[in-house]
Amino acid sequence: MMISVDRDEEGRLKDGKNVLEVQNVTKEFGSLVALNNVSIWIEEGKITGLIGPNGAGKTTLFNVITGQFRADKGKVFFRGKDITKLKPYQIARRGIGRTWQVIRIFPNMTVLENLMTAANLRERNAGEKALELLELAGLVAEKDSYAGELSTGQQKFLELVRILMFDADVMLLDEVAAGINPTEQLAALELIHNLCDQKGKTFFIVEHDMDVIMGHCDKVICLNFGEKIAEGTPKEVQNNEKVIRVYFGA
Amino acid sequence: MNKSDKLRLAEKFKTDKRLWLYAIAVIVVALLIALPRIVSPYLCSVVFLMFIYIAYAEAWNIMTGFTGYINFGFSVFAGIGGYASAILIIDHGIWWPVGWLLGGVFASIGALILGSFMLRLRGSYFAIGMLCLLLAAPVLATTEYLIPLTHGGYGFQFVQPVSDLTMYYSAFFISAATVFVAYKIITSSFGAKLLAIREDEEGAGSIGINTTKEKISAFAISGFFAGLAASVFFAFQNYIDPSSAFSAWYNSLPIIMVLLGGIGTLWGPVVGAVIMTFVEEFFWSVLPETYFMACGAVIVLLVLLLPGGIITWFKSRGILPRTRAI
Repeated sequence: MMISVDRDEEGRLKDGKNVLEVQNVTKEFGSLVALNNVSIWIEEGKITGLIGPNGAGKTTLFNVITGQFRADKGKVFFRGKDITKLKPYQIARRGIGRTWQVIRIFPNMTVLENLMTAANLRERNAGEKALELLELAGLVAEKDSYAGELSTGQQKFLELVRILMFDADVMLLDEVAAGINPTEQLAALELIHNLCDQKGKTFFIVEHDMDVIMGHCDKVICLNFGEKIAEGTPKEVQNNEKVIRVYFGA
Repeated sequence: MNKSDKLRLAEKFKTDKRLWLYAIAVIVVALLIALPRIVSPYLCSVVFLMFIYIAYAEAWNIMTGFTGYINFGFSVFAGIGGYASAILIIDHGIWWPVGWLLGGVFASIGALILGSFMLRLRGSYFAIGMLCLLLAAPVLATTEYLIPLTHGGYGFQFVQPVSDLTMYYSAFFISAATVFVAYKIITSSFGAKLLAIREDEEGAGSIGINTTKEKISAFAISGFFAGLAASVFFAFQNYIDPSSAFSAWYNSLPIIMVLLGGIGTLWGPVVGAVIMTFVEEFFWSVLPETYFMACGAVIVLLVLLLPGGIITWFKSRGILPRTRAI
């Protein structure tokens, strides 16, 4: 990895310029160590992938970052500020949005209402903004349908643009490409790239589909049994011995 | 109005069905305003009760229908409002409209204080907690500390501050105001946030909703209208004592009405309240001994036949449009 002037020896941007930094986080559930001294950093405007076998701690890491769980040890920084002890809604308002492994839209509310739930109460043009976002997600025609009546793919799009409703800069997506058809998958990836390139949004995605990870991420982090075992460009991680051992048992 | 204007109006009537709804609403309102001059005082008192029930049911709905937090302690706030207004009007000689309004304000403050710790409980724990508060309230009202305020078990026998007619119109206004506020809430993004809490509280938090704050706000609004309506109700009853203020029957009625009409819908509580007023009155006059049981049987039947409530039933069959404004 190239080391330039403003990076330290691990390739990390210095002086808190990383939009999101997790420092030495440990999270235990009883005797199970879900995260063991994990440190990661996410650069702004990039797509970072998070991989690892089932139970590796990927979702736990998301939950620690977004405040659903509080880290037992270590700290989480967002734009240089400590957010470790904030509540989930406070972290969301700072600008970190997330989607869930199991879709968590509000099924008995309309598509438009789903977006309005995330609107800032002081926002004047919330309605227009919501419609723009629905256009982005290709859901304008469905705006008055109940969210629970949408297809899985549409629900994922809805969940994704709902984060944009409160102007999150960093978007944590938990298995965005899982369970949707290839066309929708392509559309979702295109949307992610567009948001990244044109609006400077940062993405941190958990994904099992290696094509998605290898083809679309700028950086990949691999977890196994709560520990970070590899980090780097997709190519580096793909050729990392530990990763190969974890995935193929060789 | 010239000819072309009339034509345009007629044209509009054809194209816009909503105008018909407005027309019906105007007729209903006019009828309710004129009612005391048309029908007997007895029927008027039934309609008065109907207004109070509408306000009760809609107030309960603002909390429970919208946020999903089942409030089994509704009478606590009705009781606080009733007592506060009685104390202010009888013991302190406050002008009655201000006394009633302050009844609502005190109930709202009560909801704010109780809500800020009760609403940290979730699901059935909150429901049980509120029920316990309801049981504790009459005991509290008769403790030696509060007897100087509440006059203990004797309560207040008040000479009605105003005429029945004024109370009729006040109740009418309060029920309309409650429904109007509920409409404003449910069609706003505040309402959307409340519904989000009902759907998935953790998910709501993850998209930036301060669920505790929104729940407490809804609770305080609900408490305000409960207290306001109760102030007028107890003035009409002409007395208030601990067992009537924190009565289990008036605690259950709004719940029954909302479940019957359609929980979480705007007009469900109104429909439920109108029906239950007349069902209750009918059974009370026909079966004075067993009317609680008769009411219970009717409720069981209706809940079995219409599990989601009347409005929800109509909505799911496409007879009513599925909008929050209904």
